[in-house]
Amino acid sequence: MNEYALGQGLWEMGFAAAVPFTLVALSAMAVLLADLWLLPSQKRALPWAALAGVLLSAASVAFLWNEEATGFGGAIRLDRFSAFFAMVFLLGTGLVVLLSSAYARREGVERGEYYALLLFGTSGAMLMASAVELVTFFLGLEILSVSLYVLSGFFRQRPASAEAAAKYFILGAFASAFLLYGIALFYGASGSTTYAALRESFGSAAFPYSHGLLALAASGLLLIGLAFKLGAVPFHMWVPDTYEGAPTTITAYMSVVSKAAAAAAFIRVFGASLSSLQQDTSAVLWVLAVVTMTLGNVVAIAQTNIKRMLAYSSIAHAGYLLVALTAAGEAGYSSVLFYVLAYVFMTLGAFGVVSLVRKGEGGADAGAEALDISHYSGLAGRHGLLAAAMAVFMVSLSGIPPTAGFFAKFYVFSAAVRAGEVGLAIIGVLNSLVSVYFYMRIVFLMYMKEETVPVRGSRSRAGWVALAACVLGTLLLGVLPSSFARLATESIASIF
Amino acid sequence: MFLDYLYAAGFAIAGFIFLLLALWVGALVQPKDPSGRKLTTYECGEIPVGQPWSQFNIRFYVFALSFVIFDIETIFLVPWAVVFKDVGVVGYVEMAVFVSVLLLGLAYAWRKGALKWAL
Amino acid sequence: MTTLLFVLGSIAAIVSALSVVTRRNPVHSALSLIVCLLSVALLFLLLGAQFVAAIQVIVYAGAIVVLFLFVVMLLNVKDESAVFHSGIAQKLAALALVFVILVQVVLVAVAGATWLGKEQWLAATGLSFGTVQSVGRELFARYLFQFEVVSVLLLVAIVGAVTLVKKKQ
Repeated sequence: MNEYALGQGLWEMGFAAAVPFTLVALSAMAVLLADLWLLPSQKRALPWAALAGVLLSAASVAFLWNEEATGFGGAIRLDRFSAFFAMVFLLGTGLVVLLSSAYARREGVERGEYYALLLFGTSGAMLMASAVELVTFFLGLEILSVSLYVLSGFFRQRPASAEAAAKYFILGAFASAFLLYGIALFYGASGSTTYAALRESFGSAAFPYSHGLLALAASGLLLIGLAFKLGAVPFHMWVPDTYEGAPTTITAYMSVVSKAAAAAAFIRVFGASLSSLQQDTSAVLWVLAVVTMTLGNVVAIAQTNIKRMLAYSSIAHAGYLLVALTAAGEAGYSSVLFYVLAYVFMTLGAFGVVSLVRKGEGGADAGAEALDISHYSGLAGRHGLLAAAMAVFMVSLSGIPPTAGFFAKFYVFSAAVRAGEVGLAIIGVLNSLVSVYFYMRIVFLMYMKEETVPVRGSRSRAGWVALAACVLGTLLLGVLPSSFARLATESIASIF
Repeated sequence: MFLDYLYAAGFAIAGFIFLLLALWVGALVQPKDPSGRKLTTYECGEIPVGQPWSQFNIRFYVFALSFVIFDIETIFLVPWAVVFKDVGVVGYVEMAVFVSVLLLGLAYAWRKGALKWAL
Repeated sequence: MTTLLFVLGSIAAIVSALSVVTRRNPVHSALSLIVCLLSVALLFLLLGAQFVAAIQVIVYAGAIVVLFLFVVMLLNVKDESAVFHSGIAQKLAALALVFVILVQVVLVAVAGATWLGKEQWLAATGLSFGTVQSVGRELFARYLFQFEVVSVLLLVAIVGAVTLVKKKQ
């Protein structure tokens, strides 16, 4: 009855596959435990403890880079794909921890839970990317989601933050219910929850008509759950309010890690296991991609709050990811991986700049976050470096060479063309043109306008290190994209 | 198997009948002498003010939430206890890990003062 | 006997579920929910799923409904019509959703029975399927990893609950 005898050693069960996840989860617990007995003056050590956990797990991923293992009776799998995504999540988390070290102290949320929940969220995301079984995937998603619900409401005294958490939580719970229902349908149809069983059950053309309908219904429900996490239209309602109300560093984390995790799970489920349904799903994805890109880009133009603008921009980028997922195939999916990596640098960078810019002396709320787009007028005159970094990220987000964003979009659209989706690629390019307007407006304000409200940049060294890493990554991926593209292709090859 | 359920149902019904019986016997033997004062909500003479449904304190909520979480933990202990002999040492270690992770949660809630009435 | 219990349980479940959504007083809704959950527990028992039935009673009818009641008392809502106004469009959308879910449930039953083959289906869902023993054996052998991950999820939930509700020390 059991797939292996109970007495076998842990390693033989494929524990290797779970090592990176376990390390992150254990460091989260260590941070949580340490915080209980730390004196207030020692809380400054918390981000470094969290960072150590991230580095430890990254080291284990690097150590296991060439390994392949399936763990615990087909629950979790270590391959190049999981390793790639684990590295992306850890990179994102590490940068967010660096950005948070000053931000959290300034905003008075420097608490153990903050860093512990960040690490827990990352462990959930890693589980989503490496799960090869639906229950494991669902647990990963829930760990990530619950951590994010709490983190987005971390400024409890601010109504906006509470609103962010409440909206995210209620809609997220709904999305989870849909997802779980889809999982139940898959289980009802195939009698198993492993991806391998899904491939076996639905890969054969022999299954009867009612069964095909069932698979479609289940896929639809699963798709709704993932689209919610991805922030795709029409499941994007929570994005602007949650992104605006949540602490800025958490917004950065949410937009990067949670999106990448959803994309990873999508590729594993729909790309590698349910490829027989591809014709049906790609029709739905096509529509989702078009409305998501268009709505995100058009509504972003009208925004006056920079976090809200970046929220709509992140909806638009979810649309580009959906273009790649529609294109499918190895080219489409590997362009997703490249896109996700580029997206980590440019989005984290942009939000990082936002978290470092403060209102200057003179106003009643000096030191508060400068979140209005008009606050960025004349930033170049006062903070050349900050403005230059922001300009790099804006250029990259709008997809202009020689930056990461250009090649990310290039790979996505060329994959779409190769898959025969020329129309979709054209709509995507047109959308990119629209997006140039609102991204370049920021650059224009920073360099061409006079300062209206005095602002100042934070002098947090850790924050500047993170920003520098983001700029470097954005430029590196823009100048030498081919080796990273090869990495993405190799990673995708490991799951097909 | 269904016979076992019937036993359980039998006990439940017997318990219910016993309850009704006790109330009925009580009603039978008690002296009845209703007067205005006796029919008030509090026989001691306290006159109730406002609605019986008052707003709850949010403090209850932390307890309720922690209760749900540890309730779920307990649920997992039941099948473990039932198959304890089959799953042997591996199962023991599994449950030990599971419980210690949740003990960390308890330590956290305790240390943060979530189990105290004062917020 | 089984059929009789099934009919009784289903009627109780449907009537109480309708009562949950039609009561204007949220406390009455929550109490109807208890009846609904208990009758669903009975249905689970009839299917031989003891463990799920026990969870249904202990966690849902016990803990979760208590949580609901706490929220109701916390907000002190005496008549939900004062808080919620649902238009015709919302009601139609809800009706459509219910219909879709119903169709899917029927599909699962039909497709499962025809495609897996009756023998396999019975082998998978036979009388021992939902017993505490079989759940335990699956949980602590095949789903060992998932079981441990659940503890992490519960830990995150505790941390979240305490963080959001507890004031600063």
